[in-house]
Amino acid sequence: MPFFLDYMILIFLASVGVIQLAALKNGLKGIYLVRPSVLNLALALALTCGSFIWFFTSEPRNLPDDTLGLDGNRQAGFYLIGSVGAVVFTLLVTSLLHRVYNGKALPSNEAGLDALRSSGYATALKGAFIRLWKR
Amino acid sequence: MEALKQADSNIVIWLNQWVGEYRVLDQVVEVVVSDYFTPVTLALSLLWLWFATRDPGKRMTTQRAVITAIASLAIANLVVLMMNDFYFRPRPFTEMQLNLLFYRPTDSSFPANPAALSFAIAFSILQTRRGAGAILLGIAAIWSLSRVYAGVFYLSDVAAGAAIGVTTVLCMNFLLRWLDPVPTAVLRVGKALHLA
Repeated sequence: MPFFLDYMILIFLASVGVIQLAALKNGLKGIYLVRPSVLNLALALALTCGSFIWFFTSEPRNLPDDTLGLDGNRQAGFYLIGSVGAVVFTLLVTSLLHRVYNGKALPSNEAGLDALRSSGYATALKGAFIRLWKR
Repeated sequence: MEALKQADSNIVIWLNQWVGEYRVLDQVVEVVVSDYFTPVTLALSLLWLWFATRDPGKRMTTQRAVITAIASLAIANLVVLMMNDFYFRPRPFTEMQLNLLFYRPTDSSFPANPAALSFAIAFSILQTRRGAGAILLGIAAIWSLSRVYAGVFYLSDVAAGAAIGVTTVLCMNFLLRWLDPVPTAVLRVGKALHLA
């Protein structure tokens, strides 16, 4: 597999894990990938630590950044793609899961990230657009 | 000046003499010094700080610090690249007999780009989140020193890189105060989209 793909997989998986850890810390139940907090914690730790362990043990990673490895700019670019991808993936999947678990729930009235404590992302976003429309 | 250069070389030789003595330490350092472990860890810390802060007021200042960190690391990177165009210092392993734990970089040793980037991120966060900032400063210091241990930087390269990182953040604080509508708009849009 090309090196940049390995790097993107590391970023994507670790970012999904870190977002879940942050969601657990902040109580953002609307973006939990797994409902019981303990299982979600286990999943988040497995994704974060596992991706690092896989990346650094599967192949030698001290590669010259101007030939086989990635230079700083390409690293930053791939990081951005991987982490934004992880955010989008999390929001899409958890919105679907929230819909399956809760049906057509009413959107939260809270602003910003706080809305994700009780609403799925799609529901919260829908609520934001409705409030904007009614203004 | 010659005495300083000699002291710089002596520090690298003294630290590098331990390479090969403890296999486990070398294996850990090989991961820590890599181009990927610490930068990814620092970047993931910013992602964590963005989403994990519970108190809305504290979250706003933390997210501003994350924006400052991202802007500062871009500027610090640019400053180091520009300095590399004007001044080239050979790497320690080209001038001394060292045991390398890293590949052989061909760019200038002075100033150390990894130190500039990592200290820029750590110092940005330290201004608003003391605990998290102190941890990130520790990570930045370990990364920078491990590169000296691995034989690819002198201590003065790392110190100069750290100074560039910290100075960039101080300048960025001033600049972002002046350009305040931009981060405020970013956060307002993020909040409207339930992402901040």
